[in-house]
Amino acid sequence: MKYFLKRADDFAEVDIVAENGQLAIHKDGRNYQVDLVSLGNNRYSLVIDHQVYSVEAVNDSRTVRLVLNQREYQVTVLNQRQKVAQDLFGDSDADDLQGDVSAPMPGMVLKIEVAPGQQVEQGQPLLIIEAMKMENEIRSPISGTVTEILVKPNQAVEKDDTMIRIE
Amino acid sequence: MKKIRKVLVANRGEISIRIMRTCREMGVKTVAVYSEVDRQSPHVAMADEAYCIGPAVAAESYLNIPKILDVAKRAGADAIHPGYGFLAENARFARAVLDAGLIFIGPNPDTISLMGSKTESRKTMMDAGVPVVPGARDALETVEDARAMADQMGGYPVLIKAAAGGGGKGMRTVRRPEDLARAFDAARGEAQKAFGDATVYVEKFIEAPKHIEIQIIADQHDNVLYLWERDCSIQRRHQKVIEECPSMVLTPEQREAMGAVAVQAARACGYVNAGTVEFLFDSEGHFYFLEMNTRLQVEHPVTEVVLGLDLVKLQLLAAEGHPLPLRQEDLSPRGHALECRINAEDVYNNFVPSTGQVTHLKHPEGPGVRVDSGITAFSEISRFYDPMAAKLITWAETRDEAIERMKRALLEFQIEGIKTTIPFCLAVLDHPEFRSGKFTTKFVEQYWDSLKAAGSADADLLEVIAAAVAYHQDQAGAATRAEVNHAPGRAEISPWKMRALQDMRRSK
Repeated sequence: MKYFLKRADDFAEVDIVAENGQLAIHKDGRNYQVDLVSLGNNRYSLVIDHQVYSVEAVNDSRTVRLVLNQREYQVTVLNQRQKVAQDLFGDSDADDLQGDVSAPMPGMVLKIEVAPGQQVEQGQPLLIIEAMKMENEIRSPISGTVTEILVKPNQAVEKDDTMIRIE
Repeated sequence: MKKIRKVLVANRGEISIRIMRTCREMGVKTVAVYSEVDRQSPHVAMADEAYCIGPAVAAESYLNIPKILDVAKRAGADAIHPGYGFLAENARFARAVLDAGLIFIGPNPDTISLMGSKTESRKTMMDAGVPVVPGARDALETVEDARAMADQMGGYPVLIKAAAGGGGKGMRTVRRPEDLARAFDAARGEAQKAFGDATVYVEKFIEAPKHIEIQIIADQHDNVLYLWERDCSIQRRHQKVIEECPSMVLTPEQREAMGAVAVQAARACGYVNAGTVEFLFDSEGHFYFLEMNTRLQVEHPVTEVVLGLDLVKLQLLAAEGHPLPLRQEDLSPRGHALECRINAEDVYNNFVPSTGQVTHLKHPEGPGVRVDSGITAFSEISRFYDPMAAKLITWAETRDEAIERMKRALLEFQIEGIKTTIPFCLAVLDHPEFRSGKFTTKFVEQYWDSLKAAGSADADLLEVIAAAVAYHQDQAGAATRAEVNHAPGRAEISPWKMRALQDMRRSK
């Protein structure tokens, strides 16, 4: 069974064959013998060519978020059906507006440092959110123009609430 | 001498549990207080008695002095331990506890008040001949005052600090005169919020010092001991991340000199109970009094482990009026200890707080490992409180062994549902500058790029694992569908309906 992977700028295709309860994974001309056991709670124990790995992995539709040796990685994984769907209907990820600044955590807006119509540089402070008793400066992800400000000082925000739009 | 039979712990999280553990061992009953969102917090389960004291917002619960005193009265507690943070360094609270006829497990209110004001404590220390960082003797009212003071000290960089401060709150480094006004306002704003007091002052910014602090313990009979040092130079935004005992850079002579100054500082303010004298230690071995923390510190376990002492027990004994059960020459330090703070923060996203529910938790175990944790497998990491979830402490005969043990234990730590500072701690422990022991408080800023990149796994390996997990879940999903589809008396269900059904079940 074919799987299509994308991590950062790296694309790869793997072929997986199940045999005797193990997986033979073929990737870039190499074969990996993989024995995967689910331990519950999103934890897996893998023995890959006799090397032991413990990972936490969550498969959120097409993105596998995995933690290995306490570091978190994301790999986009599509099976054949998902790949066909993507080829037909396009990559919905590309539609994400990069200039939407959302709250990285729940908190309280303390101060807004930009105004609609203002030109901002990437990395420029936009607003300050207070959470866990600390002031956190939220910076612009892109250079552009502030088109909309959706929050006010002293307003409580939840994680992922869109606060400012930049184009 | 008044025996303490029941202690109210006016705190939450790991430090409440830490204090209650010793109380239990001493046969002392414990009373927990908790806010409405903390009923499931493990500090409640740990206590003999528990009382809800109000809403999540700390100002209405953990900082609510009348409510806490009322609980103490109702529960028949005879002493209050404030832990750290919240009311721990609030002189008004300590005074109210004494006025209620209870024992406050800490120094007397006047000492707290004196050392709680950075400007007043600096003056006291200057007068007692304790070396302090050059800077303002008094608080500054306006930006213009700050500007004048900065110029008078010979220019920038300078540090703006909250007079009532601690933990890096209300503190700003200013490198250029044009940044002063903004930093001044920010420091005042943060100080007002954190301490209810916007007063700030300015001092010379010492480039790349070490942060070395001396633990002291004093009884009511004029005995003051210094319990060696802790090197807390690994900090991010003035928040300590990794602490150790002993420091790699102190000679026995320097340790003795700093210890003597710490004892002198404690005597200068009439200190009783456990406290910490913090020093900046510069590249030439000069040390300057920074502040005195009139409470038990977060990082106290490294001292306990190396000296084989229970600081909370010593606190209780001192509060009861006992003379200290040991003398300076009785101390027998052994080996090396490290502490990593496990904070609910997203290291790779500018350390933003990572709130949410812990879905799985397994603490490390094995030789030389101590975990002081404030969370359980289903704890909700709330935005209302400090992001510190747990402390991991390791001990070994040598520093290198303690570091390797810490790495081993960090890799064993399983926390899911939230992001933590574990990967950051691992990266620091492997850094050559950390290994050398010579690192300064600039370490994180200086090496952030290499720390961020450290420990990245092999790309092929990650992709093979991700593919195996996706395959496994596709197969498991197919098996579930097949099972439902073939259930007797059930018509064929389309995958779309199946998905909707699963979502419905999940939301129930």
